[in-house]
Amino acid sequence: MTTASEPKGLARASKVYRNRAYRAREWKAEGKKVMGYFCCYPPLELMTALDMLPFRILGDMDESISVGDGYLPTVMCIFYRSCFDLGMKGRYDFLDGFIGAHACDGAERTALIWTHYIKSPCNFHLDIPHTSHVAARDFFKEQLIHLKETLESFAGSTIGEARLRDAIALHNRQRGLVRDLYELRKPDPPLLTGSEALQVLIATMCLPVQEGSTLLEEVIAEVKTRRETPEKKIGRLLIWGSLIDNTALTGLMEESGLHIVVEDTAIGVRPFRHDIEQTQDPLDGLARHYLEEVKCPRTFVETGASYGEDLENRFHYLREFATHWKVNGVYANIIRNCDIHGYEVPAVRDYLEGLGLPVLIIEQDYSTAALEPLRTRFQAFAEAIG
Amino acid sequence: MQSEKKQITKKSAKTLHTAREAGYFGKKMLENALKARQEGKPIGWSMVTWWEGDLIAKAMGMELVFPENYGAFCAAVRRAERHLDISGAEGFPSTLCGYARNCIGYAKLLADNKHQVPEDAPGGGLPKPTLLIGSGAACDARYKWFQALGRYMDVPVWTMELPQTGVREYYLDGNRSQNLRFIVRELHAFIGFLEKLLGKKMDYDRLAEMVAQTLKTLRVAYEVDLLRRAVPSPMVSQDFWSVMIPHFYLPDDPEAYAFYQRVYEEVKQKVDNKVGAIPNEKYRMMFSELPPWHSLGFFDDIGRDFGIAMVIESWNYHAITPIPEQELEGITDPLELIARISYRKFTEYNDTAVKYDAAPGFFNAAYLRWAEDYRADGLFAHPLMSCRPATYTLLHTKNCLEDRLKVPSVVVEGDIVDLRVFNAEEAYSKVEAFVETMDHYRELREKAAMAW
Amino acid sequence: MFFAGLDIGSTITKVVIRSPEGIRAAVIKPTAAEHRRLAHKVMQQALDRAGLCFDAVQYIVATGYGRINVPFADVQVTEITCHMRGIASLFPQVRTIIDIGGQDSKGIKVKDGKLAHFVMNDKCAAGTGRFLEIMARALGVELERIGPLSLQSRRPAEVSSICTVFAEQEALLRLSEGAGIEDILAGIHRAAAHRICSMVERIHVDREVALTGGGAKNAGLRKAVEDRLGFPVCLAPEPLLTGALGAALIAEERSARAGSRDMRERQRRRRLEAVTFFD
Repeated sequence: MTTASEPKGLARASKVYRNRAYRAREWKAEGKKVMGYFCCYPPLELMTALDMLPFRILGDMDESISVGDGYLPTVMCIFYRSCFDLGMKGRYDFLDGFIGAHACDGAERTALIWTHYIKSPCNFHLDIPHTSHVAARDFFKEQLIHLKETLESFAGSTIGEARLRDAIALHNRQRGLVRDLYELRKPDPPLLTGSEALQVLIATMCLPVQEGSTLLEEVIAEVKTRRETPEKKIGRLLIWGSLIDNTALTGLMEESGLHIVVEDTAIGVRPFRHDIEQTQDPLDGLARHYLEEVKCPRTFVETGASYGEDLENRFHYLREFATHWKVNGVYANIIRNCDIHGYEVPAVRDYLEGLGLPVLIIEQDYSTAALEPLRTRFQAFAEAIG
Repeated sequence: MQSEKKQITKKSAKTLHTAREAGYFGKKMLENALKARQEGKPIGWSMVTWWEGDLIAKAMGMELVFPENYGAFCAAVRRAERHLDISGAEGFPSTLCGYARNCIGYAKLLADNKHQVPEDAPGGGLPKPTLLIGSGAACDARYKWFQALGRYMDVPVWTMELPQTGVREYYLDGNRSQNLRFIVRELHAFIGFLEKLLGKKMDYDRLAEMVAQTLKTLRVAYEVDLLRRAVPSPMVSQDFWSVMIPHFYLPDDPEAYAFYQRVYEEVKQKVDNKVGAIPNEKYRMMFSELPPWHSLGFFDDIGRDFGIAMVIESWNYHAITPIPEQELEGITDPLELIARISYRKFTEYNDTAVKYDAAPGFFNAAYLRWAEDYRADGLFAHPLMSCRPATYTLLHTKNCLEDRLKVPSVVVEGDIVDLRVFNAEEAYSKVEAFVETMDHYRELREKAAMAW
Repeated sequence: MFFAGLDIGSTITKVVIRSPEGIRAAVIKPTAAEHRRLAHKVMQQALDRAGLCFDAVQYIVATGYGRINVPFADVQVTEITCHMRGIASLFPQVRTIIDIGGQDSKGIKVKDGKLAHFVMNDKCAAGTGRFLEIMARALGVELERIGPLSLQSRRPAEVSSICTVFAEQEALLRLSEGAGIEDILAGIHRAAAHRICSMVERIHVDREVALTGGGAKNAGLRKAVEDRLGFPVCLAPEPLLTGALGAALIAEERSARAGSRDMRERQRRRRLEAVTFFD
């Protein structure tokens, strides 16, 4: 519960960003449950409907992986190794539940071994099909029902249809507010920085849905009435690829003469771009949204008749973003060893360069200690755009 | 004493006669592919799908070649580098699967040559396919890689779905049958797709025959696996890695079945006469996961010098353990059978995973079960620089084996395409030192009154 | 009017002072650890050589690894852009630049005089000057001699290019097998060229190609790169200066764009001093 002395808006986002568990721990102290989850696929609505706080498990670029090295190999995604490392170090000891997901190999394998070493009262592994074939959609819905039943059993109550619809409405509302926030990045210069937006989005992933929505409303109001005009920079970037969850990286980009105006990543537009449809069986809406409308290259898009058609099918929404946010450059962020985005690189580059957008591709080591050498690349990219 | 020149390529002598004959099947696959090309038969590039996709594609008259194997081949004949360079130049990160990068580089050369196999292509190259059969099972590369080939050829990709449900979730009410229903529906969709692509109908009778034969072949291969539990071990990994080709790629071929019957006879004879594969078996080791194909002779060396018998290996290559009778009762539909076979592969050790609270069931739990069944003294863990699925859970398996079963592991690095990563001399020293570790853990198991 | 470009590299610092008529003075000095914060001293040397006082220089651009240690610079520009500008002024027909430095190597594409694509390796020693230094030391040959010596090879030895550690092992192995030193050195240069060209191929090598940086002064490396590319490369009269030259050219451009009041304000505030922690 926020009190009069609690910061609001961007200050609050910053506070939560820096101490992500603080609200979750208060929630627990009130006798309620906190469920940790991986990636954008476990439906938050199911947790919210049971009055549980969905808590997005992330890594920490400021923390070097030490304990994790005894359990997961260095040739895999550094982000998920970091998540596991933090888990082993007790950073997620406040979780009542762990919901892993087969979002990608890194998520899947880490999720499967997590529960052997890190215990929670409630666990579920959400398998996700690789395609959105008809049978896959039906299968995914069945998986969501199993998840729902596991959560209900843990909560000791069932999710009635009305409560589920309410939860869907609440989360849709939050998605709408995030989209409103993104509108504020269309002007030149954008009304809020990529670093600020990142703090806000991560904060919403650590707060109960209504508090997250209130935060978004506060930030939107605050940013709209800001007096200082931010410095205008040459570059207006779309970030595509592996997620960025640390403002040290976005800050470095912004110091190098680049605005970040939109992110097609797992902590960017992907969870928020589309609203869940209210379907007769709400679970149909959930299944459809999470499998088909969370656009990530981990889900296979059926091959088009030609390469060009294939690119259009896979990346057309990037053109929409580039156009509406007046993007003049793209940063393809690849966390080292990320296969899902790694295999896409030449194709996404072909598509974006076909739109006339320069693309900077960096495979990075998910570590603030390794960021400084990237400064030259971002600066040179800004110089190339300008 | 002058040190011997370090050899990278070193073949294994193998111990079974039948293992030495198994090369016939590899050649047969190549000849079939060549013949198919000459006859104008449709050719598919396929991932290993654990029998999910290949039986169906073959029943529809498609000949399959496996770019994963082509990668191993190019690496072994030291001709992968050019392909890897091309893949890098195209912008693919160098951390991606080595086989994928090899294939991508080759695909670019193919495309540049107007889709005719280049004259200097290693091993005669791979012809442009009619279809790319990707797989969602085991790792992401196995569908993303084929999708990426769209840059070099306008060939449709079909992604085989194979659910990888969690261990706990496998036992949830209804989940198993939902998984199977999903697979069967996808197989129907795949057939519909093939019928449209190839302009012909599926011959379900032929498919049923192939599936029936497959079950028989896999059954005998499994029986051989059971025989290997004997002490001393009648057969070692060096034999398996040759003998596996027919059941893994050609289980529907009656010749493969006949071959396994002979393998069974040869191994049974040894068991009955208590003859070990190696003369002085002192230690029994498991191997995970993909072997250093170019240096299998290394295991002959440690067998000879330390009495180490590699008794069981490479979970992913093995035939399935039999599907319980009650699950097959009344099932005659070949698609239902295929679904059960492939699903069985990825779930067969879930009970072991539950016992040790050690998910995943695939790639991992088999070794926990085998440690006991095969009376293993140690695990040879072989992490690979550019193959993640074979490496993700190795440390976890090592931890579980040590903590729960008092079986230690030795870790020796390698790679699937950069053969220099595997340093045979270093590996030998590590194994030499590891022998003492195995002695020590044997004592620990004895003290704990364990069965082996 | 005079403009200056300072390129503070990890191993060598370069200064170019030029006017629209051409280069007035150039200085090349090693960037030893203690010199990293002494950019003003090298600048003074360049001014002395040019016969100019500090205030005569209208605009100063700093580039290179140590560009943040130049408090008297008007602006910092990356060495990528500066090398591109420098080479473009010397060879307008060049579309691809390969820069081989002490600690890193870069590939740069130029399109219509502007920076198009670039690729960098600053993580791994293989393919940089450091690689050649390590190999020279391992083989007991002076660094300046490895290039000319390698050109005498008739049969270059096979040396791995994947990693400096592997390459070092292999080179010594070849030596023990009786291979001639010139053949091993040729093999080493080929390995370096392979690594560098593989990286540059990611942005597509289009002719003409220019080689720049310290590595360009190594005749053996130049030949290995040309062999690998299959055609000759352009070489600046002094490859070490192209970054500083580009910086000086950019200084001239920026000065023309800046308003006169802005220029006066800059010159008033500028001091030829060492960097401090409080800049």
